[in-house]
Amino acid sequence: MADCSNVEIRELLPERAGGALSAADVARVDAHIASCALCTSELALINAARRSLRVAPAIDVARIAASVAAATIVPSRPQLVTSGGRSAAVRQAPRLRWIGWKAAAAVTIAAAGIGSFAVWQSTDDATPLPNAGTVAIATAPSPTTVAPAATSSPQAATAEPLHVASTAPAAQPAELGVAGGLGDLSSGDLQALLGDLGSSALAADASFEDPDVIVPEVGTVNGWESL
Amino acid sequence: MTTPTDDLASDATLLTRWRSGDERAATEIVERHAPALARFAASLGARSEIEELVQDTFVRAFGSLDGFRGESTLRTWLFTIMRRLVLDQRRARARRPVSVPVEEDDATTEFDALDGMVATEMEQKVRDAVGELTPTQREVFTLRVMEGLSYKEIAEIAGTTEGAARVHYHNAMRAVKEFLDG
Repeated sequence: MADCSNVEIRELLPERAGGALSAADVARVDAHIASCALCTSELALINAARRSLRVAPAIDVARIAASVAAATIVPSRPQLVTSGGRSAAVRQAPRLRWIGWKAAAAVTIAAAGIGSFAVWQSTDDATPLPNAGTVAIATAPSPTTVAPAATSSPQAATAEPLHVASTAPAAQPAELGVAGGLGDLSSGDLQALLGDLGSSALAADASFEDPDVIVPEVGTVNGWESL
Repeated sequence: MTTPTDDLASDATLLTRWRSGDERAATEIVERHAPALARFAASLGARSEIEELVQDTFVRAFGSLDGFRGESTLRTWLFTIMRRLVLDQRRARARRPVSVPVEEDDATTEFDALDGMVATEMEQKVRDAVGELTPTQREVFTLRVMEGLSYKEIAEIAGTTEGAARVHYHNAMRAVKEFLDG
């Protein structure tokens, strides 16, 4: 079955089959078809295709309508709720949980730092507690980062100073590492230490990779906003 | 017979009603467009999940109707959303270790959902011929012949150009003719 050379008429055949042409175009197309076997055949093919594809796959439209109505809040309501376990809110939930976890971790780290600072503040500057509340900060690649809280062990408070941070160089500058007790530090050093703790938390946070979460695409479809 | 102009007016009326809080309008929109969406889903190769796809399309559409500016018809927009859903599903399946990747030329048995519904031998042959088209050709052919969409609308749905949509349609028509002649 060849193609008619009258492209203009051929382009109108689908609309002719669908009844979407104006009366003038119908007359023009029909006049051509009356004398063109190729276009007659193509129109017959299009009509057969329309009949064969007309029947939609079996779906329960009423059930779909009910589900959509239940899942969709009309604009007068305060929020949109989708259902079926496939809503945007549900799909974004894992990401929200992940963010919450990270926030909790950051708060914990900050609390630890503040707690150490508070322990130091509660003691007299003139009588520092050796290794009590000691925090050993060592920059990479030093493996030791935080020493266990010596205050939890009575013997640790009175016995030989702990050397849990022995891997840190003894002569390490204060801005790179702290291997002594908090009492050895000035207020400025402690502020710097707390700042470092915050930076470390941020660095650790950035090193996490977000889980693979499927979120709806957001873009513009046909000039409309689309999910 | 309703004309495209009637359809536009009806859709606009229904959307206005829905925006004003008429929940019944949403149901009417679903009833109005669900069959065409189901046909389109079948043309895209969807099978058992057609009903879920139709439902998800409407849920997603109603969730973003605030951005509707009527620059294309509602049905064209719904087709676009459904097409994205189908592509998302295929990508998700492709990421699964045990999934069967969807190949561009995999056209077999994709019209199973329509089996047994064809009346005449000629219609069956045409349906078989359409089933032999590439996915892109079948999508464009269905939108052009069955839904009566323009090349511009097809291009919007398929994310291509009008010229490419026209070429796909004529290649599809030629392939169908060759199938029938053979």
